[in-house]
Amino acid sequence: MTAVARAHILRFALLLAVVVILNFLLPRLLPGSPLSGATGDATVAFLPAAAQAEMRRTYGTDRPLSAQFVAYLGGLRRGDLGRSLATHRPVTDMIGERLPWTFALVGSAVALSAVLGAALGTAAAWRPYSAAARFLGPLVIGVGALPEFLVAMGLIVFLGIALRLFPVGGATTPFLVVSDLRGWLVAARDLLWHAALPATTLVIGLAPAFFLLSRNALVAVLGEPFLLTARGKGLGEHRILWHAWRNALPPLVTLLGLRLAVVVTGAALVERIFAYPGMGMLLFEAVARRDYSVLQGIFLTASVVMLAVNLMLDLLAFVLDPRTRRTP
Amino acid sequence: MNLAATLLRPRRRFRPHGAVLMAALVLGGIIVAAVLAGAFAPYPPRSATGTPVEAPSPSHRLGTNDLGQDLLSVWLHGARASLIVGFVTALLSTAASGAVGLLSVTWRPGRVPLLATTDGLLAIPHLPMIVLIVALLGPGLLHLIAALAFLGWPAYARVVRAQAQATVQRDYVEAARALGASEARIARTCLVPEILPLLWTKFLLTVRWAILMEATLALMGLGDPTQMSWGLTLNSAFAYPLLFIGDAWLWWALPPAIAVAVITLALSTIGQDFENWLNPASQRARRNP
Repeated sequence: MTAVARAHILRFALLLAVVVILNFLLPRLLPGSPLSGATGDATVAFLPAAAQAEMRRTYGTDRPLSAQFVAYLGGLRRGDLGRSLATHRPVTDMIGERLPWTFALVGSAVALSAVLGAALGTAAAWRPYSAAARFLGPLVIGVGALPEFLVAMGLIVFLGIALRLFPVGGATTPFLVVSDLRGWLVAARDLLWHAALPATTLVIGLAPAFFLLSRNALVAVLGEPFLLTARGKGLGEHRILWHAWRNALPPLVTLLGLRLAVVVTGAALVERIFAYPGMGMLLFEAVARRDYSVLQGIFLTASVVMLAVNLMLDLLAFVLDPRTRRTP
Repeated sequence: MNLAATLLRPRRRFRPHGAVLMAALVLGGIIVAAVLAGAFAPYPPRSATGTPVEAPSPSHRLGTNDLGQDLLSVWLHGARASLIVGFVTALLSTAASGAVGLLSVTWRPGRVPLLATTDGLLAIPHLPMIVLIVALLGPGLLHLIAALAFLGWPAYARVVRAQAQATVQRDYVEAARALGASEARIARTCLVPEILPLLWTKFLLTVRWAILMEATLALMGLGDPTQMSWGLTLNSAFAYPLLFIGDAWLWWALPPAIAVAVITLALSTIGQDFENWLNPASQRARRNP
């Protein structure tokens, strides 16, 4: 392992520590007592002093900050994020239930938009003067500027309500019984069918950036002198495109990483609109119930995933582009 | 610039000044409507002036919501909150971006902590962070603006810093230094003029981002229920179970959604044109804000 890779890992560890400390301090620094959330705002003030002390003892807020921090770290080490203030279930369990849905939805949407955007971008860069390329550019920029909720509404109204092609909420059909292989196939089809509209909304929001970036990166690379040399040597069109692609790849990987880094809450709005049972929906529910321990758990999960993806991205750039291996 | 690059680059996008002019007109129109909402609105926006979920009629041009409030009045008054959040957030975070970017170059002892803060804030996912802050502070326009401004500055602080860093190495800065100019004077006379255009672009992009974030956060249930905004209207519309069963979405959810879309489109048209005009080499996708 080289010094650069070690520096990346050190940075990751440092930021992780900052996130953990921030997650601990934020609720304690901002105004309002942690107890006011547990009981629904100001009612705590009217409780008898003994009951207030009892609550402080239960939640551990009567102990000094350092002792609270040690307890918090000990909990984290065991994967314990505390209990939900609303449902009293372990936060880790609640997040664990929702994480797979979000990973599947956002992961597939990001992958799909990367492939779609890069393919269209390549086509537009390869034949920049064609009618299709000229038409595609402004169209993609225009569609990409639409807010997510407007796109979602359009899909719900046209594909969901008017044409009745797709369900407009949920992730599965309720009471669907899975017993045999046929049942599994039906269930799988049901999952995809329910994911269609939220995933399409996400792809419409994500694909334009991939299109623009791959088009611009390729156009820039295609103008490089080394491709002129390649042409001069008589290389075929496909070989030239391959050489260009290899050089246009790093910015695309960066964008892919940026989008995957926010995988946990990247679809929050879409999940809320389509009532998709992922992390975004959990965030929405936690806000509605002022469930601070769940909000903190989501913040921590989202941060850790983002830091981890960024670390992998830095190490991947290191593999893809030999120039980044030099110590800066 | 080599010949091949010139030949292979697609022809520069035709951008008529008309589009920018129209964007400015639309934006100005919405701002005027928001400022004069009290005069334009046919009804007080909070009182129930009709039956619930009425279709548009001469007395209620955009119909009514589930509380029987006139949706046109609600829309006009909602524009205020959305625009205030947009512009105030943009003002604060642009100032912070400029200050941090500049200070990290000119103020030696502040360099490391400022850069570390910038880097740290960029490494943390923004949406859950904003949600946590606003949820802990309690809903309210000021809290929302504070949270958005707090997370809106780091990305552009880096851009500003890069520009300032590049400028500081120019010969004329060296010359100024040789003539005995103080750091503050160099910053004021040499760096600020180079940075100001960047800040204009940042301002426009951030207005757009903040208006979108206001709507997003309201849809996530973090709107201030006492403060009408487009986001809050959208939230109440999406909470209405029969929204898409009838035509209610047409006059309830669509106008605020279109308003947000039109404003973001107008701002990015103006912002893009501005950026191209400042720096023709920068015609590529850039992350917001």
